[in-house]
Amino acid sequence: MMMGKTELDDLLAAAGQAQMEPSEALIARVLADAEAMQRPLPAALRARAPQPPKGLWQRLAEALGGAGAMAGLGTAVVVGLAFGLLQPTSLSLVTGGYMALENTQTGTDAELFPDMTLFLTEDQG
Amino acid sequence: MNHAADPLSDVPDEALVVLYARGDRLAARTLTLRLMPRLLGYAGRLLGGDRAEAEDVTQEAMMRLWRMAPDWRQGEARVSTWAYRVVTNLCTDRMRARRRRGGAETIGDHPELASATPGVEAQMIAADRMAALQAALAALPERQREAVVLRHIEGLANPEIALILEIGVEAVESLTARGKRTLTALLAGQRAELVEGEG
Repeated sequence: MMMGKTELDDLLAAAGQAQMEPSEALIARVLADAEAMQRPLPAALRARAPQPPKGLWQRLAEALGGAGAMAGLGTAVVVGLAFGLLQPTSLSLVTGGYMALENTQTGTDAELFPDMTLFLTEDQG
Repeated sequence: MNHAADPLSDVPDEALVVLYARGDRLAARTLTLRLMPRLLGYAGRLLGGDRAEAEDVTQEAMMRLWRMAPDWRQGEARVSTWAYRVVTNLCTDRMRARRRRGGAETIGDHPELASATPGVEAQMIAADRMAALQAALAALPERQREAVVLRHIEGLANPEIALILEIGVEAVESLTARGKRTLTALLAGQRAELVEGEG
């Protein structure tokens, strides 16, 4: 005699109700595996943790190319200030030896950057 | 056995995998308690009721879950579907290894031999109806057994079974239908014993 379809369905359904419960030992082994394989919090997530806001100088340094660029820029600023603020010495100290003849006649220092009046002066004959 | 209630019962499996990957130990425990009974039962059915081997397979499947958790991409598959697929493949490997060794599982792909196999016949005569069913399941061809167990014992829908077995839905329907016909044939003659068992 063949088994009826409904009886087979009932038997299969009953089998579905009878679960195979995992033992405590198996659960412990699986959890030990899980713990052993669990990675620490990824670096990417740590980097996303709240951080203090960057200061103006830090942002400026990053915009200009880092600390090296900032150092070079600072040096240039200091040198520029020095050129601008220090009193220039008389040119004669530097060029006196080369322009001695001309200067001895006029009794004045060389004028490397003559003012505009020199170019505007007309020869009156 | 009385385990603590699932403290993350509202959290889907997929989110638990992500939580585990981020270092949450509670997520690992919740996933373990949620998935393991189903995977263990499924492995046991596929492996002919061998509990020790079913435990090994389940532990290996969970190990693979922990390993791939950091790379889990949400939305691609359900964790349970993925886990069932892993268990299916692991059981298939073990059944093939058994056959190569000439072990107990020798009739999986030859259901027509079931009635002539002393082990199965003797078990069906002596055992209760669940043991008879287990013996009949063990005698099914591998794919039929997987489809029948997933559909009628695990209670999964055909589309999910198709994903687990990596076949089409129509193929699932065909496998379950043929599997049930084969089961019916294998259990023939046991009807009276089964009815007595229900009484």
